[in-house]
Amino acid sequence: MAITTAMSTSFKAELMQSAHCFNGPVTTTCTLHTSNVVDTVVSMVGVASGMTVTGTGTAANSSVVSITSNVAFVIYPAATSTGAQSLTFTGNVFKIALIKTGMAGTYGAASVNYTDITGNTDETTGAGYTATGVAMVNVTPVVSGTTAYTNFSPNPTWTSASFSTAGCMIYNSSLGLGGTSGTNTSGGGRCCGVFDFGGTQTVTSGTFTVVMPAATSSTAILRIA
Amino acid sequence: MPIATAVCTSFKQELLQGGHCIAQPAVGTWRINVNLSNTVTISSGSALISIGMGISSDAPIPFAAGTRIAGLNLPSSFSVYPAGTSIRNNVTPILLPDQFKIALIKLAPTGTYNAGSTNYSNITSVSDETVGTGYTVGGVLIIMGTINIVGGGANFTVAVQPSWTSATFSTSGCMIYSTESRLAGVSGRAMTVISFGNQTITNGTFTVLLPTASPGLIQLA
Repeated sequence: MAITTAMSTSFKAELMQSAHCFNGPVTTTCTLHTSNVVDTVVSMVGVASGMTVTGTGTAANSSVVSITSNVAFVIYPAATSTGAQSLTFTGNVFKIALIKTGMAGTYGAASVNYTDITGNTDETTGAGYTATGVAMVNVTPVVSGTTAYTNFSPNPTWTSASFSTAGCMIYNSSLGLGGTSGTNTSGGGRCCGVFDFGGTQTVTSGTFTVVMPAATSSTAILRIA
Repeated sequence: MPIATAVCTSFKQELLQGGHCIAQPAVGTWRINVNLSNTVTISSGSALISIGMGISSDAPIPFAAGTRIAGLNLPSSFSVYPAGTSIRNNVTPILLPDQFKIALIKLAPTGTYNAGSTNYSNITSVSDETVGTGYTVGGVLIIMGTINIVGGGANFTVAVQPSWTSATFSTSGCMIYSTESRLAGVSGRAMTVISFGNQTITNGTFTVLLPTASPGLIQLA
């Protein structure tokens, strides 16, 4: 079967449902109150509902539930301490999974979830490659002209690698949106796009790098024009 | 200054930031069990829920006003904040996505409205909002329709075309904007501006014929 480079159609619908947050991490000073209220936030730039929150005084798996003003938000679970802290806000975690050569499935605009790959046992295997792929580092979306775009940096790499691959899927490994996506009912794994590498790519005892296109309004990996 | 119909560029960026949750307020076909804690268990079905969405239910409502989805542990449960206010099983949830309003722009506006428009405050800062009988500052809420996948694209429609009754005013266009502040605490973020040409209503009902079917109000092709 084949891979056709495309943005997933389901991803387009999910963008309208706040299912994906490509914001890069931002760190700012806030005041905690051993409650769900966090205030005197120095800067809210780059902070959105649903982003994860880490830092001293936050519980595990904390998220921004709602932003109540330009200096305050609701966190869940409640903070575990009081006082000023430096907190880091992180968008969704996007991963890149490699697809093996001679894949059984068909990958294109109709791909919806990482489980499309695993359901066909189409993920690359080999030295240096771990199932589910690698997490990428978000770069907060920007605009240029009338186009909005986002990028990942640095380029994803696999070291001490020996495997072959024909393409990849970028997907959201965070629990951004409920419901069923492919065979996934946990809310994770939603596909953003699939990319054909133009033929079999093989690495032997080396570093395999997927080079992201230049971050411009006409070439970036994800663009809304 | 002119109005040029366009999707606001900032809105495109905000979509990539999870800045807008556009959906129809939905009575769920799924069922949940609510208690006095923050954890809600799903007793049947599943739904397109995300952190930050508002949630209510059929009566008697076991949630406080303004309750939002606070965490996902799907498919079995999710968290809400604040905690449930009573114990009820087999509750029919009602999801409350972001609210959007449509504000009308007066004839011969001072400002320029186009893809570069970013916020409802663009209108108010130059006193460009329509005034007249039957029109209230801020405009009216839009009841969103469904998100549709058509071919290789996605779009969303409106369920009800917004209207103003007993109206006497003039307008040359509109801005559709979000009343939520889920991104950086800033409300009023603009989705689109639409040029009407000059329109006048006198003691009647003024209706903006927004799309109720594909290709929809906004389309990602």
